[in-house]
Amino acid sequence: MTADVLNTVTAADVAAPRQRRWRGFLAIPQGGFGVALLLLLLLLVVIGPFIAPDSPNEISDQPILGPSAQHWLGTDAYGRDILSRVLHGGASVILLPLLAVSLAMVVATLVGLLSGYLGGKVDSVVTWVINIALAIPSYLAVLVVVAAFGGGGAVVVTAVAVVYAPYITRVIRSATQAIAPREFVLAARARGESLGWILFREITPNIGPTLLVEIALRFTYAIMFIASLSFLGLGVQPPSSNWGVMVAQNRALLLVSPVGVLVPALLIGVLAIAVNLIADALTQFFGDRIHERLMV
Amino acid sequence: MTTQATRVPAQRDGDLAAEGLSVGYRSRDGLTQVLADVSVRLRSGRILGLAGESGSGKSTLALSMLGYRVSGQETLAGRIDFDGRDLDRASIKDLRKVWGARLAYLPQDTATSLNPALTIRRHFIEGLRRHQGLDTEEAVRRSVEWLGRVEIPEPETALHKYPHQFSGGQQQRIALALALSVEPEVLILDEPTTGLDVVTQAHVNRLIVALARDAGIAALYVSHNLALLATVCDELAIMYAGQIVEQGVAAEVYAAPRHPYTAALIGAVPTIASDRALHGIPGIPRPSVPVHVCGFADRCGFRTEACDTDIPLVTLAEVRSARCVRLDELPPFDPAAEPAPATAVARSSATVDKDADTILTVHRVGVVFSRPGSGEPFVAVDDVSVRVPAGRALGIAGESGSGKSTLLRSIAGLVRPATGTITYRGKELAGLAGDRPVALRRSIQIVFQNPDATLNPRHTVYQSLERPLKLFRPDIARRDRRDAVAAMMRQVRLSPDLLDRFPRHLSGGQRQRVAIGRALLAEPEVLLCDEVTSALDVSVQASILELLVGLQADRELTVVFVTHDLGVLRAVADEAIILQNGVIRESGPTARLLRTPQHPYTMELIAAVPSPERSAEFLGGGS
Repeated sequence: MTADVLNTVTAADVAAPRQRRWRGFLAIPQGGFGVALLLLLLLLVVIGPFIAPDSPNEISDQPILGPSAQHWLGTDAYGRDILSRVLHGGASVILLPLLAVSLAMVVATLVGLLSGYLGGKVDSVVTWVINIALAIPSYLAVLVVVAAFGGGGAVVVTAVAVVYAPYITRVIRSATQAIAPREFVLAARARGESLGWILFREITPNIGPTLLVEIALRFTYAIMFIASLSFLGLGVQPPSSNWGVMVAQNRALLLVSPVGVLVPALLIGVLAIAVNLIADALTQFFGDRIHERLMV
Repeated sequence: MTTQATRVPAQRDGDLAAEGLSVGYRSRDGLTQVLADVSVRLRSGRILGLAGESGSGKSTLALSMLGYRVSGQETLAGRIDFDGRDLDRASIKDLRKVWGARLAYLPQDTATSLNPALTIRRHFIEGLRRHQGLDTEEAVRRSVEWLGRVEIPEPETALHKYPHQFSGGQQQRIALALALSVEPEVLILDEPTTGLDVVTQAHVNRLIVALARDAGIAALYVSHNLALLATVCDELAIMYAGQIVEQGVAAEVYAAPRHPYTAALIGAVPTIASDRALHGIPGIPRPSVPVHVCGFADRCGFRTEACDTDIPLVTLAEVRSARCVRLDELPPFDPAAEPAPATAVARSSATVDKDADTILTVHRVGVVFSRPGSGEPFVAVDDVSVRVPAGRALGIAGESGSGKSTLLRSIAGLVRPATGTITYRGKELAGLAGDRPVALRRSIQIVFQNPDATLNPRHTVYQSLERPLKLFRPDIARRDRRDAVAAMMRQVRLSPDLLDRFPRHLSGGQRQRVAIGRALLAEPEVLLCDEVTSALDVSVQASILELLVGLQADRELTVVFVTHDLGVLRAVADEAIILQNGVIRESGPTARLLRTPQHPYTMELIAAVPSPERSAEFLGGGS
């Protein structure tokens, strides 16, 4: 009997796991295009400072020049080389939103998991706080914080993280609520597993897809949000060559020398689009996978 | 009721027949054939039962007979004959004229047959006006009449309600009334009572049979439940791997199956009537139609070289045929035969030891859930006391909502009882598992119902099985864990090759075996089983029950087994408790309790169990 079953039910009878992770993701048009765009921009940001012809803040006596062989993108009102500023200014455009989203993510994941899993009073309090936080307009909240603590990278990152955390918490909380009553979680509780094990080893891997999609989406919003704040003069401060700051500073010369506004604005747009495409592709990718799992 | 033998099958208008039907699904991986040379004829006033395990092609056949095709579906050969026309090649315009008017379909889930946004009245009027050309007033009159026939209380008021205001059984009865109100000639039923409780199930089935026979409807009843089909149908067709392997008069097929698969299937169906042993069918069903070999060969005990060919359907009598090359050589079916006596599930009251120690005592336990929205709390378990004898199997049976799972979960420490105590070997258990000492948590292990959720989809089989070793078995060194886990895999009859697979690569039965292995690796004294086989096919259910009973005897385990199926209860439990609305109605040795029930509720449950031997009694019970 035993031998019988062992012979009839072997690994060969079962479909082999599909190795389709990266390749499958890149095969989705949005995924491949988004990743290619993002890599290109990252390349620009990383090696930009090394290949820039001038220092970003070097003031020359030739302001407001159009594109020429010496200054490919021309110079701004202070005579600074726009190409060099663009090549230097990307780092903060990517880094600050990344920091803000990571910070929001850490807090939101912890709170969302706890609130979704424990339920009861903890959940009531968390939901209450979230609802209030969501009722406050994002820009208004950040404006108040910046007004109180002054502008600058650290303040903006913290403010944006605080504003985004409730949104992310809400998503994580409902994803957790869907997983928490499932039987493998009950089995873990019956074994007497620790809260940490249940939250991070049993539940988190199963909300991974939701988490990733949410990170990508929030990252897009944060890029636009922080660039906008920098444009308004509330985020990164001049003389930084942050693309948002550049748009703000060169906007007075829009009609005379549009390159100084168009190039950084375009780059911000492309960055946001790239990340958004990736978020889109992730949704599709995990959607397919989830679908596939249900079809088994 | 007319006896089955007196009816002479005759071809006439309104008959629906599949003739030599072969169907395949085309996908990226090519063409997979799912039906091969299937011929069945539905005759007016008769019900044909179509039985088979999941993936046997029975639902595909049912839908194909309506002329319905899913995307990628291709007809490879044969036709669907209805009034001399081929439904398979009919245009969608022609099909719309017969669908719902002359051909009716009743699916398993009323969520797909009733629209939650429409009143019952709208449901009826739409079909009656369209297909019968009635005006609204006449349609309403007819609807009330039909609601009355399916025994919906206060039909006039019911018309103005929405589907969600009815219970599951009532919804299915309304869907039945809806299908029959347009006076169709053919009714296709796809597992119409599978999701319902036993008593409700019996009620709906009685109505289906009475109304279909009354109206002279030709019906196809698809189900995985062979005992039910043999009870309610006139004829029976058994499907396996896309082929009909046996067909004949229901009672004859059930009493004397000719094909080894039919015999194996009957041997796997738990019954409350006798101490007949239960046997699983080894192996897993073949997912597609076999080529040049008998589809059942790799699981069949009677295989010879002669089986390695295309097997024709042999006609044995006017309405009897079977697809096997060794029909003349096979021994006659003997339900008492025991091919594997060591592991077969066989219980008899004689084995019950009267003086077993009590290992677990549930004393006056009550569990209350608060209902959000309404102030009224819900009492799931009401003042229940149970003594579980050591080394034996206690069954807890009841319908959904009886509190049987909640009771089990409170023993496992997943639900905190509001009142009462649970003691294990004289020690009182804390309400929640997390508050219990390690030794006690280790001693009581639980296995759950749903094979799709019992294992973490993101953990490999090995990761799931290693966990109890880490927590409860410090005696097993880290480097020996893999061996211990592999040994357990063999004990639950799985290949250790599967250890690095994820649950999605395993079948439902395999996942359930892993879950049992996970519980046993803790070396528990008490194993709690919560409907562990209810989501599985009968053949798989029988092998899991075989495994459990074998393990219980080998390890002298105490098993507490929750089930809604009295046949399963009979197969695994020495002693049983019948629970209703959180209250114990009756308890005692299983065999005695099922043979001579004392409480009316137990009697009602037993009467609702389909039994081919007393088919007339079952069908006559409610009407």
